[in-house]
Amino acid sequence: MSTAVPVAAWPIAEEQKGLWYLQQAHPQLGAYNLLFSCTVEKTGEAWPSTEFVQRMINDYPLLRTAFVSQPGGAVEQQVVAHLRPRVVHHDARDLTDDSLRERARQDSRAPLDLNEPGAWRIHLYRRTPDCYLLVVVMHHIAFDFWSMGLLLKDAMTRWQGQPSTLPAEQANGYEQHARQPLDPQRHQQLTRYWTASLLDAPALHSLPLDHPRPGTQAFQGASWSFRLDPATSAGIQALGRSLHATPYMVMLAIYTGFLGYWSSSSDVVVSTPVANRTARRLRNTLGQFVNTLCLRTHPAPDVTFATLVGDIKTTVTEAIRHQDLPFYRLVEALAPKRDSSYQAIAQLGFSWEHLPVLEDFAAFYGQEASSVGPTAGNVRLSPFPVPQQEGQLDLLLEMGGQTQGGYDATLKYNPHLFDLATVRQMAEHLAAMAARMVANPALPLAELAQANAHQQARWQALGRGQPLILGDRTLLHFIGQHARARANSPAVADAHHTYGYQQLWQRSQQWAQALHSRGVVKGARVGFKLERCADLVPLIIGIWRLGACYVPLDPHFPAERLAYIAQDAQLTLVVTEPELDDFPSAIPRLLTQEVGETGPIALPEPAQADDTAYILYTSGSTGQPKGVEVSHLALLNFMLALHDELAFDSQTRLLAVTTPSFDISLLELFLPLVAGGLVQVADFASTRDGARLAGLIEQHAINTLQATPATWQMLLEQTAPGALETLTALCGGDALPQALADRLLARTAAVWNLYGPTETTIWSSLARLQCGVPVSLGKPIANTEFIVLDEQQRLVPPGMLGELWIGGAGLAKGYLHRPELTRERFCVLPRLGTQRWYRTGDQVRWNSRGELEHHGRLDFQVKLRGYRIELEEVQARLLALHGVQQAVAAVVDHELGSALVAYLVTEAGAEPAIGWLKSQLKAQLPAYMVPTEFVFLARLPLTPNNKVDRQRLPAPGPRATRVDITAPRDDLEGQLLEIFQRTLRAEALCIHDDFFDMGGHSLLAVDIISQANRTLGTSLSVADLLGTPTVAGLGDRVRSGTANASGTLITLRPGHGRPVWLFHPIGGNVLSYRELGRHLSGNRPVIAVQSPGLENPEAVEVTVEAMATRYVEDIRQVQPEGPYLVGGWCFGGAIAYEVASQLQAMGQGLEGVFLIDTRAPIAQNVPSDADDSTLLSWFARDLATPHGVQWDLDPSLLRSRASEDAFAYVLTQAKQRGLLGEHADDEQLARYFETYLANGIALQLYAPPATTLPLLLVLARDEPADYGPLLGWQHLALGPLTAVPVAGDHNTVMYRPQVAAVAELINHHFIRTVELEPQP
Amino acid sequence: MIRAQYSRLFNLSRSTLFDYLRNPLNDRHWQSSCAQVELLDGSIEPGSRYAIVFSFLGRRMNFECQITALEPPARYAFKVLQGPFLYEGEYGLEAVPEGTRLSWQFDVEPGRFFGILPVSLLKKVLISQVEKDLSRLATLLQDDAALSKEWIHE
Repeated sequence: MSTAVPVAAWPIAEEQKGLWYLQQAHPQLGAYNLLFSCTVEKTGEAWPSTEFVQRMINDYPLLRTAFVSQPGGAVEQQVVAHLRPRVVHHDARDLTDDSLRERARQDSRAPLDLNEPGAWRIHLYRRTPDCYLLVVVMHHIAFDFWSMGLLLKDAMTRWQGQPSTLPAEQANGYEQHARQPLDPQRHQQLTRYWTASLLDAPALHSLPLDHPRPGTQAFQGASWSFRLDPATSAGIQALGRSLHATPYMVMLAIYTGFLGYWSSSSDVVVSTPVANRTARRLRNTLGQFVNTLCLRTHPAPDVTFATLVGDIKTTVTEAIRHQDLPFYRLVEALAPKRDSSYQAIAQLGFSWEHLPVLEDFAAFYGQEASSVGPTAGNVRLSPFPVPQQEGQLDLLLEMGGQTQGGYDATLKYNPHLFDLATVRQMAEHLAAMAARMVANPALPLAELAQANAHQQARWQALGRGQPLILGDRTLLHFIGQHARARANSPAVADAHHTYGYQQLWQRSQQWAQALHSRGVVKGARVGFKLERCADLVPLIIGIWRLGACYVPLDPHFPAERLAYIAQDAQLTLVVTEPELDDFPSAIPRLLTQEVGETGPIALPEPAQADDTAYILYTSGSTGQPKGVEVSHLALLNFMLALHDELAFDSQTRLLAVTTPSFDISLLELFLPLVAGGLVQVADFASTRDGARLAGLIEQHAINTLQATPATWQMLLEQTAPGALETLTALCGGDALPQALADRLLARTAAVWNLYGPTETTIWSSLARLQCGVPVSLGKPIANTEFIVLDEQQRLVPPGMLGELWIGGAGLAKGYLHRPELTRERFCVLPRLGTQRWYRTGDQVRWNSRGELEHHGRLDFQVKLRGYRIELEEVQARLLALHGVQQAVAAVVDHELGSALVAYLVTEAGAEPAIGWLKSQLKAQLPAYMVPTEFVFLARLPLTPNNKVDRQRLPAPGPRATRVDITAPRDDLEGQLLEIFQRTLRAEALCIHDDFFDMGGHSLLAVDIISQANRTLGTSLSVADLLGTPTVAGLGDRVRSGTANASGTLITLRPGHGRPVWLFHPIGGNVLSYRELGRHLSGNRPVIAVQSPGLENPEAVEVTVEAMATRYVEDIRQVQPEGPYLVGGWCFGGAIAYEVASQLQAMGQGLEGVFLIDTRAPIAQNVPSDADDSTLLSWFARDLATPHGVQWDLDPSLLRSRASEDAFAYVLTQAKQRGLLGEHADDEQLARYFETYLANGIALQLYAPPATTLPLLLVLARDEPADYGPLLGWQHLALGPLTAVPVAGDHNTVMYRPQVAAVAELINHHFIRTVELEPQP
Repeated sequence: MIRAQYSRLFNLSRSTLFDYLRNPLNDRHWQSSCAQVELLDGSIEPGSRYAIVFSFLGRRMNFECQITALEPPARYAFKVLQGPFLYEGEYGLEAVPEGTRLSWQFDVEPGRFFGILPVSLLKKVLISQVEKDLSRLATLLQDDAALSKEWIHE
């Protein structure tokens, strides 16, 4: 920090406060550095003097300014008398233009220390002795671009040896501006306008992201520049003229129309900067005046563009009329829930940089460097733009300049969220939309968002699989070929039998003959209910050889389901074994033992391409399964496509593990046969046992395995590290978590991710996974087409989310006996021709690599408290945590609302603590995506197809036992942990567990600290526990010597500005305010005053007046001047009343006084028998409250005891009731009670006069004790008294969930409303 | 035994203050915990007795007290003859340029009368009560003085 004595100082202006706060919160922030850059070339003999720079510094105090925080939270702009320019020299002789630009971009982002005078610096990059790149960097807190323009003009004038034309008086008028407070009435009016305008606006935009949002905003950015063509640019101007709107308004409408389309949202908030120099006298004033306005727009699909322009015009006009509410104040007023992962209120921005004052330098802020520029003496300046101010928002569109008739545009984006490829797509689509919008303003946005035919054709081409000629063949053709060519090669085997290819064919003949003799003809439907065995394959082939289709009936499925399927499918016959035969007698059956050798019999015509190959039943939304009919053509297409992709050959040895009732079983049973390989059929027991599967893999030299993620998980857990290294892993049927994919990649030879609904035949796309590349669905297989459509069934551009529709040869015929459902899901899309498409219900998008990404089921997509939650993303983060084996995230509704719940299966021997899990997730995810509840399961419930069965996830219940996963790291932590465990009576605690989250409360807090200090010789205080309520945190404090945050003032929440002051209740400590402190909105500090008697019995006061006098002294150390906002719960309210009275008597201003269920200190409210026994009975009651127990101890019972016994009696009773631990320190509790007594006496003796203080009285609606509707305050309140009831009794109002309502009242009354500015 | 002491400056003459303090009947006007007073001997002089009832910290206490010293305008003392516990008190009045400095001393042996209330707290409470009561006394006597002056003027 500078030691120069300031020659002038004034408080920072409202427009500077937000920037100050941001820079303090993020000291490395460079996103708000403004730049001017240019090439400086000497054209004459010598360089001209640069003394003018020093003269400018001398003339303009703002160039000599530091920003220094003061006690109490105020910040001053301090001007020093002298300052030399800070110039950083660089050698850039070997750098190309691009390299230099990037270097300058990085250097200019280095943060400026606002505590040091001169929030600016100069970089000089020497390219040649006569040529430099000059970059001037200024912090936005000190200057805006208008000021930059004034300074540049002045600099050019001076550099040419001319006197300055910038009047010093006007230039240096910022102090006057900063000192001028906003008129309170105007402030109120502005606040009302903006809060109404943004009421219930989305807190976060819905643009699809390329990467998960990090838990903390990094303020890093990148840029992509493009240009609208001259015709579109001219169209914008012309349309503006016709609609009486400015080009800014028209372009803003285009942008919001684009954003609405791209994010599938019709409620979009965009921030935009305004110069905010509404007074003429400010036109030549240096300083930071820019304000940010948040414009709420409604680009609904059915709104015409002309209407949108009109709406935008109205919005902008009104916003300009209300532009003088500083953004910082807007945030305070709206008090949005803060999340460190994104900017409050608006994360998307639009900027129209067209300042007249910068007209002469417009080229320097263009997109391209140039060698043409102005001269100053024998120096020529030419444009060399360096990207600047990147990272302020998620996405910002900057426009305003024009080049050769076209509007220049730059999209500044957050590279942690968006890839460059996506941003380029956005730019392309935006430009295309702009052209359509200005050409057809009368069309609705939905139509205008549609790409032209050429673009649509390109997008559609992305999803087109390779063509493959199928002819009229079926699988039978290929199997029959191998039966001739590879007669003796093994084809299908199980534990007992192996069929060679010829045997396989012959066996299928036997089956066909047996079936035929039982009446199976072409088109018949044959069911089979058999245990897994090799004979399944020839049976199926036999069915096909008759031209019939099969319907699998898994013997391990519920009988009811099988009976339904048999009836619905109208089976001609069922093939089964005697032990499994429980079908109705009316259904003909063929038992396996009845199939044997027969003589040659001519079979009818085998299956043709259009015939049905199988009917598989899938779950239906009505609860009854529905049968999907798939043709031989579709099946053959699948087989041949995957044969090519997976390169199966005669060496392929695949272990079949999937139930035949799941269509992916067909890959296992037949794809190797297409290639001439081997199918090894695993028995049922092995399919459920990873170790047995591993045994089979080894025994039969299996090199290919297909399984769901759940089965792969099981296999990885139960096999030795090298057991799978020769395996090609095929994974599908459920979303493949990245963590599992990474493990598979590490342990197998190759990993493929397969995707496809049953309705499009087994799999429709596949991706060969690579290390370091995120899991995707890959690309469609041959003769298959993927398209991504919006809700209006229009093609969406790559990068945008939409629903996947699948077309091509793989489409099933439809749903058996469900024509309406078939028509609904298998549609013709007239815009795309006459082919059928299947609507998947999956949300996807094309990524920058041309692969399809899955973004959840549309019917599983969840919104929680207005935020769109990607459950897969939460799951992925959970899976990446140490000790977590499987994870599922779900939103569960219960009586207190919806909650995001994590279901976990942990690794053997490792059960991570909930506190640790949360802390890890909070570091990676936005707060709204961190589960609030955790359920530990032994295993995840699975469907018969081995997919996670979300319907059977249990409701969250009491927490499972936690085993300490983070052991104490040293003896100190070990002993602290023991104390925690003993005091909380919780064995399974971790050093990261939050004391209060684990059930700790005020008395236990006092107890823990006392034990720690006594046992360990530490000097911890309750304030330390409040600040770091974990073993790890307390340990750190002790080690670093920062323990003993003592004194009466306890910061519950740090912040900026005037604190909210809370005063202790009757117990003397302030732990009961912890939840309130969390729920108060805004970023003001919340400081609670605890009784000094807790630490020093001698310091206890026995009158409210004396307490208040002391506390006033204490709080004025932090906040020397008002207005003050004070309040308290119970007795704390009485203290607040007295504090406020004393402050008022001193002439200090007051924002207000809030009283949380505080009885008025009047004689009528003092019980006649309010003696020490009464106070002791209150003490007993308060011991029980944190445990959720009501303990009403009759004071007369205590009076009947000898006084020295009464307190001991209470302690004994409390221990017996489990309210205190056996180890509780009685002496320490006696001291605690002494403070309690003192406060109780003070309350009884306190009889203040009535005052005109403005009072907010929060009434606990469910409190049974009756002190009247206003608790007696009507006798003391001569000024405004607002009384509002909230749910809860006297104690529960301070805990969740009731405390939220209390906080909201305070927020509404004081924290969001106009502050009473002291009159000058 | 608890000894509590306190002193306060009054903008009044010693005689005015003394004349008011010496009369136990006035206690109920300026002592907030005093509920009732009765002169038992009908006089106010050394040795005279009076009955006084206090209501304090939720307890009602009946005492029979005696005036032990009456030295106008400098000293007034009293003690308990009968009651739930014993106490002795004394007021010293000193003339100072600003008026009168009143010193109050109170010795009490409360025993277990106030139950679990620790001695240290009780002492603080006594002093704080006296502080408030003497403040009220000052207000009372200032008002009286003002009235007297007006009366004189009339």
